[in-house]
Amino acid sequence: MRRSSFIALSKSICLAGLAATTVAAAAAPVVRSEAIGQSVGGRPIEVFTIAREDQAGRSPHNRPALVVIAGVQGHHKIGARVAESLAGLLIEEHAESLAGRTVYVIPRVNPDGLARFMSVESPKALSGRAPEPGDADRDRRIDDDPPNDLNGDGYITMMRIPAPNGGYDLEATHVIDTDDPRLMRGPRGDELATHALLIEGVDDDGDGRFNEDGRGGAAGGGVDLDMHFPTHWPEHADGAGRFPLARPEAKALVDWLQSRGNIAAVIVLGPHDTVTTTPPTGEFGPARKVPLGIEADDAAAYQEAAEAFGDITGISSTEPGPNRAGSLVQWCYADLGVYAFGTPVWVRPDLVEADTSETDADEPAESEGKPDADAAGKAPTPEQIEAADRADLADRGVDEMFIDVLYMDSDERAVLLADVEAMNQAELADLMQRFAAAPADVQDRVTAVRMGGDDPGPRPEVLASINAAASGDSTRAESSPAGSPDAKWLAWIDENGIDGFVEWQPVEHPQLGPVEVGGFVPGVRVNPPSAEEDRLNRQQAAFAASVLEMLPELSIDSPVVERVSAGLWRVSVQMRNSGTLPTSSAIGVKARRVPGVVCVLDPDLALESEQIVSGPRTVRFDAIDGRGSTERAEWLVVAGQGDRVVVEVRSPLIGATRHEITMETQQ
Amino acid sequence: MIRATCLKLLVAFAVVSAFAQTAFAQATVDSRHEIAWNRYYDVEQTDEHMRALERAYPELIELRTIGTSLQGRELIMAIITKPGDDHTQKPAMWIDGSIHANEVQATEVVLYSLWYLATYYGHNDEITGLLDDYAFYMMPIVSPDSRARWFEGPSTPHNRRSNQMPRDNDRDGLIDEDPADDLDGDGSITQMWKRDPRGEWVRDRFDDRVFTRVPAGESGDWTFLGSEGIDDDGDGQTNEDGTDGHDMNRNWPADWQPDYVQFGAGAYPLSAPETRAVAQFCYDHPNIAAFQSYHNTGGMMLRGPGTNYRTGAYPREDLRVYDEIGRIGTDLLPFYRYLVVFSDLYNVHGGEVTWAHEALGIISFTNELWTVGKYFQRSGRPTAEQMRLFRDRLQFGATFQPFSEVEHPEHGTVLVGGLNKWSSRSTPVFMLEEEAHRNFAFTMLHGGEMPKLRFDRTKVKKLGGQLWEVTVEIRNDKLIPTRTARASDAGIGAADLLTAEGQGIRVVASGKLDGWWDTTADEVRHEPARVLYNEGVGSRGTVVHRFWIEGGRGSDLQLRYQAEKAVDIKATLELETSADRDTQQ
Repeated sequence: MRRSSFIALSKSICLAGLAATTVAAAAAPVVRSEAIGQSVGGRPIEVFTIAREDQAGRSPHNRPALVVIAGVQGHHKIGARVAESLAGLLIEEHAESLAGRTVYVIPRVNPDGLARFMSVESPKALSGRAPEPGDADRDRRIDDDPPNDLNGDGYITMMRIPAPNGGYDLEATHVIDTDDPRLMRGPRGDELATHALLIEGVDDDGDGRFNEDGRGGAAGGGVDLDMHFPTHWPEHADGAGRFPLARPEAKALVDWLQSRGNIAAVIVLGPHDTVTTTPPTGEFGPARKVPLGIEADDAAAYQEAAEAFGDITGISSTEPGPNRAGSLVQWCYADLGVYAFGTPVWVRPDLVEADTSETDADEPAESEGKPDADAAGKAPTPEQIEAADRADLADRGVDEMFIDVLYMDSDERAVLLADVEAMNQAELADLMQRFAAAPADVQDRVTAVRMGGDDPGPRPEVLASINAAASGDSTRAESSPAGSPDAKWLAWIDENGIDGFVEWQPVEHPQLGPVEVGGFVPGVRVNPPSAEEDRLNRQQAAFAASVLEMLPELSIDSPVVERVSAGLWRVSVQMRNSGTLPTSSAIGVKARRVPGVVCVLDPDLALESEQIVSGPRTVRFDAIDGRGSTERAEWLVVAGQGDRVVVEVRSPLIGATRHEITMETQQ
Repeated sequence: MIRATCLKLLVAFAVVSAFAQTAFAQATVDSRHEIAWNRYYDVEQTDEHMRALERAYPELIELRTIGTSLQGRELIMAIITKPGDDHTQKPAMWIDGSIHANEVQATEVVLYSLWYLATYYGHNDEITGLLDDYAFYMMPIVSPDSRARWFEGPSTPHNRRSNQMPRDNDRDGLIDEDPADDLDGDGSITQMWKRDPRGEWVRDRFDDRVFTRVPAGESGDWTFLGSEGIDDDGDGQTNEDGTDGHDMNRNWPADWQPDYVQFGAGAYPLSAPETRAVAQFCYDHPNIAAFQSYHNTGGMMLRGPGTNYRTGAYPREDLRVYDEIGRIGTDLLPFYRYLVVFSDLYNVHGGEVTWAHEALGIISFTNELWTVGKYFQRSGRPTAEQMRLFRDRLQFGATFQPFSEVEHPEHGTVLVGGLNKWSSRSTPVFMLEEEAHRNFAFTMLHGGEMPKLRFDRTKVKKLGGQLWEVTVEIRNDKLIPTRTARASDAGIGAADLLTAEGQGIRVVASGKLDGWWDTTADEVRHEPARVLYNEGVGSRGTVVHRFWIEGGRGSDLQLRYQAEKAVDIKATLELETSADRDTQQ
């Protein structure tokens, strides 16, 4: 609780500092933060609101809004990184996209899962779940059979078991690939399966099964928040939670999203992809109404978003993601009723089209793209060093606040230090304790910058690894991989000299005898090397800006009065949508969660009912199409010359506006 | 005089010895807190009766506040079991009422059940046995905000079904701005009629409370304007946006569907603080083995599924349990029928009764209290004339609001009056106690079949040297299994656990048998002394298990069988060939 609130504090200080530097410009965007709830571990769930100050004083909550959400799954740390960089990049590089619109950023829906995945706790296993004790194998013992680090390398990888011991009911399912003996694959042709392939571990609870109850194993270890939302919730499935939104993180998010009627679109940075592959249309859940994919009438909007995404990122496809049942992105679409785009942020590098034209003129070419042969010999850029250093420090579990301190400018640092001065004793004690827990080299660096000196810089290993990556490693480039995804990942790891694969090594398993342990390092296929982060941040900011520019833009033309006859007037009001997207998605119209566009003549009931002789007092439009489409409400009113009447237009997108009109011949 | 004193003494003695031991059967017993059952109780009165019962029977009853309603009322439930027992270690039955607040008598039925159990414990062997073996969790009012409004505010038999969550029903951007209005200030929402020379209705010449439609083509004197109220927001519709729109019996996380599929579903499963509190209590008490919720009306004992695509969640073994309770129930409850929600009624997504079965794996009924057959104690719907007879001659007109003229802002002079909120769905007060008792008896029939385990036959056989073969049989005497087929299929809750241990002995192998006479065991390959039974002990069924044990003659073998929904049982067996035991009488 104390720890995370301090991190939040330091982060908002950074963002506030950012806002302060740009406030000089007229109508400059401002970033505000708000905690909307707390994780089980006491960490805040924060929303950052990015919007320009409005001259008319219109609240950011009365503008069409885009929500960017990340960190639903704790191992997807690239999503959280991108989300945290988004405010700055939008303000600095896409300021025009914020005109009349609001962006909400929720960078960490699952702070407990993120903290757990990024912690130094060994062994590191591939799990993004929100930690929660459980009895996945229902044997009345909690978390009693997690995976185990048999080779002591700090990672949970895989184990391959030759001629499996029948005593454990294991079956041979795989063979070792002849071309690349690091790869395991199913038998082909007349081959016989020779190995069983399991997650690394022992049968801790002695029930004959391996790793079936604990974090990072085959089951258990908490709640996968992306299986925890009500839409098509996978009832009783491992990881789905006791009931939808039982976790306070997910509930807080939903409560907040449902309280904001101005949300027009959502981007979820996570493993669910809806942009390179448009979700299916015409497929529904068992009640035959709730879409499994999207409504047919929303497909065009998805295709437009997909084109923008492809142009910006060059990503042409992704590996199949997890099922969308119970996912946040599907809930945002099918329940909240807004366009919901899932973007994978980073995909297997061979799925990215070679030459993407996403270069910004003012951006140094070295800072983007993965190093290639041409880059060999060049010194790493400061951005590359920072990214690699940050990733290294985070991997070592260094408190984010200390990492941020190292890379703040002196003004930001002054603000932060002033804040530390203002801490009460308990907070200070906590801070000291955390400082004491940091590695010695980090303590030295933080002390140096606190005293106003220069940062001594990252560990030599980090610099070495950047240099190695920059110089490339062509020794394996010729080993043309087979077509499997595993082979392609391995090829990429080899080409780029990434420490991403644990070579198989023999281990004497206490229950199974001789086995081999090895495989992909947990997370290497989820999160990119830190040198990639800056490029990905910019890509996603550009995509967010392009979605922002598609949002509906609702305006109300001044009401028109026309004299029909003495004492009889025709009053009309016209609404116009100059955005690309309609004011409501097709699913929004179907879900009926928010009112649409409502035009009310005489909302204060000042007229007698008999005076409104044509047209219902309240006229409602579910949606107004985009690209300049209009809708019109019209009434015949009996009134005297010079009488006044009010027309009110209500839309959750822009709030309510009142227009007073006088019964007189116009022009 | 002397005789009366003696009687009083006798009664006093009975009360004092109430829980000391089971007393002789008595037709009636004085309660330490008497409650009149010929009337209804609002929220405060109900809560006060609950507190008074707890004060009168502190050894039996513990009240809990499990949450706070939307408007800040306490959500109160009672725990009742044998004095001194830890209720969490016993199978328990959950009983609730008035999740739909307009279905008022549900509260009195639950309150009666609590009162009856407390009053008769120690005086009646059956009741005493129920509380000795089991615990009961009773919550008379799930929706106190709406019950308070139903009693205090102008209501109809049908409104206040929802909780008081604000909702923009007509989707005009304003919330709850056009509720019904009590124009004549009589505390009831009734009907409005307007004089109209071209109207389609006439008033009966002999009974001016009765409006009759004229034959097509003829003109009457009156037009029906609908339910009492005005068009508060001026949109041309009347009473279209009141405080309704959230149906808490569609808010449960089992086949929950959003509002555009299931009207009233709420923002998400358990979005209402009231349903969330109940659900949390139930999830936290895996000892709950039976579930009952009360509604009105129609005279039904309902079970799931709520839709045709959920039939797979109701395996045949579970349906046998439902059918037996339902069949006996139709005898206990005249004019009630045992029905299935989706096939006999309508589709329900996210209902409470189906949630209890599908999410908790518990045998679960909803009773729809009161039915038209009860008016004259004969089947079939009474005619309009019979209904007037009932209201006039049996209820003395108490369910009718006389017509009065009211100036209506839109319609001018209108006639307001008609049947009031007590007229159709609530049990007439003079019949309330019988309704409560018969339904209470039905829930005790159900609750009394919660699992009860014992070690039955055992056999110890020496195989030579230090090796012994021990066969044990665990028997459930009750209809409800320790794990329903739904629970074991869906993986709900922990599996049952049989353990064997003892000083100086070692369980070297074990296996499951299909029955006492089965000769070939199905070996448990791992942890032979710690055996999981996911299917539990079946309906009036057994688990038979065989252990192979190394140990010296005369060693003690400790056996223990644990089930979430039964009291744990233990037994000690001596490794002796003469230790065969057949406890079956």
